[in-house]
Amino acid sequence: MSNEHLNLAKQPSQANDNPANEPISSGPVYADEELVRRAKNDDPWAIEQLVLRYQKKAYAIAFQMLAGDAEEARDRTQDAFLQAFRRIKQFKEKSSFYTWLYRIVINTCIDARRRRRRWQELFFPWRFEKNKDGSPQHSLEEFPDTDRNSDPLATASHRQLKDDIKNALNNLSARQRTIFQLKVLQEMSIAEIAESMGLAEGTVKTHLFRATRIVQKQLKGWTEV
Amino acid sequence: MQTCEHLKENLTLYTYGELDPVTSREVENHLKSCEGCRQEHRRLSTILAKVKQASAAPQLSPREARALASDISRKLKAGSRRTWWRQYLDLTPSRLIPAAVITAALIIAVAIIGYLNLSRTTGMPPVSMNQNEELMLSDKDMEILDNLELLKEMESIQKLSRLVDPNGKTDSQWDRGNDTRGMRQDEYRHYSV
Repeated sequence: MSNEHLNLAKQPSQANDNPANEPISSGPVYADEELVRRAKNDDPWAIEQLVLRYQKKAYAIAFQMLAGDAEEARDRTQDAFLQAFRRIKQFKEKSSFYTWLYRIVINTCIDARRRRRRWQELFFPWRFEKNKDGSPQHSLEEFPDTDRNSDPLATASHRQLKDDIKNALNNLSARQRTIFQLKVLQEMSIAEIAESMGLAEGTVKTHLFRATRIVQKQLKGWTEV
Repeated sequence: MQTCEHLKENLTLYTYGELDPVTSREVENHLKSCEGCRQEHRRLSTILAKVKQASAAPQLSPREARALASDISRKLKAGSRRTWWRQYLDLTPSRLIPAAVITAALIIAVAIIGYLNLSRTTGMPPVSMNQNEELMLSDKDMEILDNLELLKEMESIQKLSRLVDPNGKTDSQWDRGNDTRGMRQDEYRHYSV
């Protein structure tokens, strides 16, 4: 049965950002702790190494959280790194550097999403009709097609799947969606998600379970394809 | 085929690889014997794989990655080169809030000290009280004031009589002969002989 086990098992996030995979990084590979220690002493080389090591993952998180807005994802990634290195001396190293960094990325994206929503509510109120229970109804414009331009040869079936995923994610609360994306798309462990979002592991588990149920229900038609 | 309801959460966590080894083995043993849960596990695995495949974020190209890294380095350097006075003018909430609190505390402290000093050193009634001084005077005070007027009148009469009769008695003589007051001049002469 274990051969059927999804490749969603807990993987150290660092493995995805191994500097050895970076064609632009050369020289000895230092541990995060050493680079952080040097960064605290304003060593520009150490700062650059940490950026190169984690920018792809940070960008991917921002891209998913900002509904596929590549330009904004780049800007927010940059903001998050700048914030992180301006506050690096306050980093107590109780957690790993990357969970601390991802927490900053997630908070930066949540703030950006909130700001964008406020502006949209102000200028396009008709897009934010309320549900019967008074909760705001998510607009599909919040989750644009991520590769409408980059994947012109995508099949109709693939497009349909993407639309259905988009609708399924729209049915999740903001917190459920973030947790689901961090787990499924970024392959972060529940412990890492909890640390990055400042939540208890039990809370993350509950949200993940509920989000999975909702998505599974919405995408029921795709299980046999 | 029905899924065992009580195992749903563990089955989801098993699919995510989030169960501890003991519970994971228990779920695996259950899956061997339960067709419903096996199908459920397969369906969930398929959906999650499709979501992951369809929603993958585009990778930053090496050029974009380099540009992002150099932008961050440049902005960090620019930030550290800021002059001291610009750094102090950086009105971030972390600086504004303590500054506002200190300013408010200083204003309150200065106001309290000022008020205490003022009331201790002057000991004078406020100006507004002076304006109502007349209203504060008692009847007795008013009587003294009236008598004062009378004394002044008497003094004027004495001066006048000295002018009319320069060889007359002095004030002290007048004082000694209080009972002669109010007499006409001839009566007075007669009396004084």
